[in-house]
Amino acid sequence: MTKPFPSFENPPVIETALGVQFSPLVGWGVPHFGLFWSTIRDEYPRFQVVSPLATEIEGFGEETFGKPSAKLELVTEPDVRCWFVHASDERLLQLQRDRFIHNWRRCSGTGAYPRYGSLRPRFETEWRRFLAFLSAEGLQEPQVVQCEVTYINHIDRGGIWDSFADLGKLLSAFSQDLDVDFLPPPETALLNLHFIMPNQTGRLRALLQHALRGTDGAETLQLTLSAKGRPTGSSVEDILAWLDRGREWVVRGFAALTTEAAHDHWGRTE
Amino acid sequence: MTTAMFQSEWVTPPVRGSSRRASSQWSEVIPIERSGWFVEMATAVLRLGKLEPNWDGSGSPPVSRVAIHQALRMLQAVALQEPPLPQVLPVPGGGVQLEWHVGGRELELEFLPDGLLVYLVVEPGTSPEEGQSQLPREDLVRNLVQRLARSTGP
Repeated sequence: MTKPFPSFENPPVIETALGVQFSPLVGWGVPHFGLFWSTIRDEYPRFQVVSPLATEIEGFGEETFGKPSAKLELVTEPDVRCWFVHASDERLLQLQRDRFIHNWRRCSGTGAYPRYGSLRPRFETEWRRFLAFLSAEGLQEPQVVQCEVTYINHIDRGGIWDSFADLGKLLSAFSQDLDVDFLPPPETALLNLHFIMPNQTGRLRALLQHALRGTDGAETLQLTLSAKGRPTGSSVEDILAWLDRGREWVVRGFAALTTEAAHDHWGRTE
Repeated sequence: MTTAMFQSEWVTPPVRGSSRRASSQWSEVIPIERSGWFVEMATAVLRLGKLEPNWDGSGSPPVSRVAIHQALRMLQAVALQEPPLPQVLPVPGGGVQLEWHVGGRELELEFLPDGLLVYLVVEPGTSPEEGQSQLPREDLVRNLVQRLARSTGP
């Protein structure tokens, strides 16, 4: 029997990203960033140019461990990623020649996690708006090669954990106590786990990092769960179907990786 | 002024992951993969971000986030060298200064509100050396900090 879908009253999620990667748009150039911005500027009044995301497609089997191959690509445009920041400062659109990502983040002291039920239609609205822009500009419809669902959680020091000897209170994988007779508590921690989704439809990555939060300097454990995989097609329905699957893996994965004691702390209801 | 705002938008964002590779993450975090040295320094720099306007009593604006990010980035670049702890100071106008005084040598790194790095090196028997860099220059800062080590080695 399938376990109930996990739900938390106060999940530690501070950011989500729903996105798609597609074949580089033919005919897309730097001016299109500005043209697109002009269609959303009322809602997204600020922009920032940042380093582009690398092209990374999840591979399996020989694709993962195959021989490295040289690739020659004729580059005629600088690789650029643009951030368009929503007026609320809680939402962001990331755009580059082969990527479209919608982020939500928790602003300090305000707002609860809006839940996937409202983020999903928001992504759909923005994606359809982008498709309409491409059509109006006479550009091709994107050939989607990968979808992404990422949830970033911050578990601050002083709550569930106070030292790295407490990792077992947070992560089920560490529920065995360390042999403290020999090893002192770890000074810091970095954990990276990958899981292949059924039928190689994608991969879930879990990354635990010890970090300082930029907004307030709080010491935290950042637990990032990111599911990426190829949808069955490029239609909006295909994309949303994959995002639903990716989100299920992220949430169930989060519940599986963390302890019941931590779930109680976050008010698990299902 | 519009021009200044435009420039600040183009400053490279801070590190957002365990490596320098770009990711889809938006929220800013500074990974602690290094020593307690970096934690102590990063905490001191981030504390400057909490200063209110007029923190100096002379009408200074708050310390700029761009200056804070650049200072953190450079501290991360030299963390493995574990140099002596610098003084971390706010600069009127919204900048951040890191200051070392080691065995007669001095090094000042000032990060201006728009991210520009201005540095001053004072070494015994030579004229003070000044310079500046618009782009993040980890290699430059590593070399400057390395010169301090000459006065602390055996």
